[in-house]
Amino acid sequence: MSRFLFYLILVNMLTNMVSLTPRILIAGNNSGTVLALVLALPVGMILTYMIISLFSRFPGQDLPEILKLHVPKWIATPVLLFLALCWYLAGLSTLVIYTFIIFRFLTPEMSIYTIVLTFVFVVTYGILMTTRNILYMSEIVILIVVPFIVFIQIKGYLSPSLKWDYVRIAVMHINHLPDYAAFSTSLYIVIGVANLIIFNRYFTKLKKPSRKGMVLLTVVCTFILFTTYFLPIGFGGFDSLNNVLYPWIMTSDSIRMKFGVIERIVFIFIGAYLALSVISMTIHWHVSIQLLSSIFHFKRLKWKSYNLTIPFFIVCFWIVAMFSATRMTVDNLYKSVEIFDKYFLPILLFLLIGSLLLAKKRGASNCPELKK
Amino acid sequence: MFEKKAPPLFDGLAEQFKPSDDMIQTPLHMNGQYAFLFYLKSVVDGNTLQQTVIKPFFEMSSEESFTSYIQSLPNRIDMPNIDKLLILLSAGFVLIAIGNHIFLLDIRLVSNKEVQDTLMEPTVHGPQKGLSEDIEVTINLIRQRYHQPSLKVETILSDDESNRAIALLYDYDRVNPDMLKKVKEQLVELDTPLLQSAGDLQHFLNKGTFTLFPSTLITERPDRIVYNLNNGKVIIVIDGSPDVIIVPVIFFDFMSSMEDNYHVFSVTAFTILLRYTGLFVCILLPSLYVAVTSYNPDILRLELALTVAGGRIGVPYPSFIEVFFMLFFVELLTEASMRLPKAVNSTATTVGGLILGTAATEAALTSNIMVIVISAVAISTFVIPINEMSFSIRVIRLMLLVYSALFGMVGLLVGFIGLIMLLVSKESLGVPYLRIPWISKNEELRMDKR
Repeated sequence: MSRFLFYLILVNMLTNMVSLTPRILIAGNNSGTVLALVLALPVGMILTYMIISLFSRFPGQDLPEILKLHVPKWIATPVLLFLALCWYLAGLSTLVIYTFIIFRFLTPEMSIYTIVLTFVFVVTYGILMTTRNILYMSEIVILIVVPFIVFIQIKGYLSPSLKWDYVRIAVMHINHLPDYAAFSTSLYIVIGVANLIIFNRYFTKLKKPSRKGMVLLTVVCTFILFTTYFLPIGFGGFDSLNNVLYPWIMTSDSIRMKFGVIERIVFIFIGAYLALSVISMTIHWHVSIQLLSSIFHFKRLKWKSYNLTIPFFIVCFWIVAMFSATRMTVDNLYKSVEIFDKYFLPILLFLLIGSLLLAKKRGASNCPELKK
Repeated sequence: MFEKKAPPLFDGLAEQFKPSDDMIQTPLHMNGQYAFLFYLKSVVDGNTLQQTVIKPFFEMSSEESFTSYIQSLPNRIDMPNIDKLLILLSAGFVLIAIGNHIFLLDIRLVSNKEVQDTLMEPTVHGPQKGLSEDIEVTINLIRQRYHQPSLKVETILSDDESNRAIALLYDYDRVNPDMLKKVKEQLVELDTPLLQSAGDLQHFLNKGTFTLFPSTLITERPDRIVYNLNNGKVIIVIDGSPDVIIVPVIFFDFMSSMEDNYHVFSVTAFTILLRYTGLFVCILLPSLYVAVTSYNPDILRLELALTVAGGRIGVPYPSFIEVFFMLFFVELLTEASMRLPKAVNSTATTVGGLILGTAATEAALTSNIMVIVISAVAISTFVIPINEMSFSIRVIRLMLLVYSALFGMVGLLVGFIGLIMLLVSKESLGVPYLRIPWISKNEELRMDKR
């Protein structure tokens, strides 16, 4: 398996550790979160395997190209439109939640507009980069950031304030039927491979996932998923954690470096995850903008020799982002993320895999002209 | 007595070169044998001319034998067209007419042949001599270090007013043909009025007006050249410049010193670590100071935060003005000490560095910690081995400083990622500028443009 695939999955997974995902998981701790986690893992891995092996049939082609070749337009356009919307919302939720986190923990006196503006320049530049360069960039940022994250996790697991009894209590709730919200949320964490719909352009030699790769991926996913859920419970207590809005930030704030220049680990934590969130946003919105520009191409919208379709979409993106960052409350955001995970995600996966299967079937019937 | 006339070509040429005093058009005459010489005295080696042309003429028995003698000289080249002939004559070629034959001999007088010391990239071990300003000597120096038949030398005559010779050197077995084609295209397309040195050429090869980072590397070290040749890169040598250009380059080329190859592993690993730490320090430290003092003092542990805040008591303006103020003076100091004659240099550094630093702190214009930060930054800028990169870093640092002065700690982080994005999306002749080079994994991604 290509290492870049790992990065796509890893970025998605790690970014969600800090966002509202653990909140949603912990909300269901009295009902079926544990079993949902246990279920989401194999389902997520099977879906990952399916998506990779389906895309490996179309080396070097992104989803719009595949659909254009094999599927009638009246199916392709709505599917792509829906996918673009999903990816935009995924990026947007990351942006809004991190804006809230920054506002609350780093710079409370700064206005929300300024905080969003911080991201505007860099993320816009990132979206406009080529797909290949985004992969290179995410590799570099991951290599810089992951040591810090590993350090924080080791520090967390070795901390004396981690009470394993709480974790045991949480595990005891395995006897409930799986909670749907928790299931879909944890599925969202592990399904980062769906970014292939655009990024497959650069995987010309994508093979079916090897056994070694899948095992490694499963181990990493299991570790991160369970850490996301259980470590905050170990620190914050089983019942009292229900009153905490950002469980992971509270958790990391309970860890201290006694002799460090930076005493409170929470700043390293926010910093590391902030870097990842920028990457995640860039990836999501890059996918979204590419999908949109594959559907719409305004020939009239021109300035000198430049076509302004993509800049137009980017401006729209940021206007909506500004609007929602200032108007939304955490409660609203929580509900909308839940709705996204509950309803959008399954439809998204269904459409993605369905259209790929259709394309594969259609492609098989007129195979000779496809093989270049 | 019947006197033979010089061929009409000579008169035409003489018209072109008039009224230069150093133009010589002279007949050789003995016992009815004639030969005509045409050259520019100031660029032709008189001794060699005397030894190899004039003296044999008077020793030969007939015109025919002299003709065949000239024909077999190793420095004879074929007659080019008239435009090029003019350029060659002004470069020190000698035109000889015997009977109906006209020959062109290379008897150039080149006085900048000596090999120069390595000044810009000194190392403890490794060669202490660099290249020469003469293109032939430079090519000789490179060939003598890399004995491979696959090492090709291609000469291109530049199109500008100076008509310098530009040579491309590459290892044919290792170079990427597409890339080589691109380099040649760029050199042919080159459209500049006057080309003076490798630095000049590099500037024109950098496509686009607004470039932050150099996309070619200038070096004077023969070992670096050979190392890069062996890795399939193209070397561009330009006559009259003691530096050569290496294309394509990636970011890590600028961060490596040739000495990394000459030490034991532990030393090399340590110096590389030191260098990258220096890089991060000189990019991040000024911005970090602003972000920490003005936005998030709570990030530091309590004692340190108090020390930093205590140091700033009495400083009458916000921290970003303080940093800009001090950075400005340090940049001035660096620039001044680079341009000044060596005799005045030490005075400038002492006045600037010591006196200004102390006085500024005592006058409460900056804090003590700021002075430490700034000097650390100034020192670590010099750790970067290749000068162009450290200049670029100086500029980048200011941009990051502005970003973090505007947006605080988050601005610093996001701005740093933006910097990585800038580096990643840059290309040097189709080769990505910054990526993690895992060996033998290049096949994974399609390398074409998309």
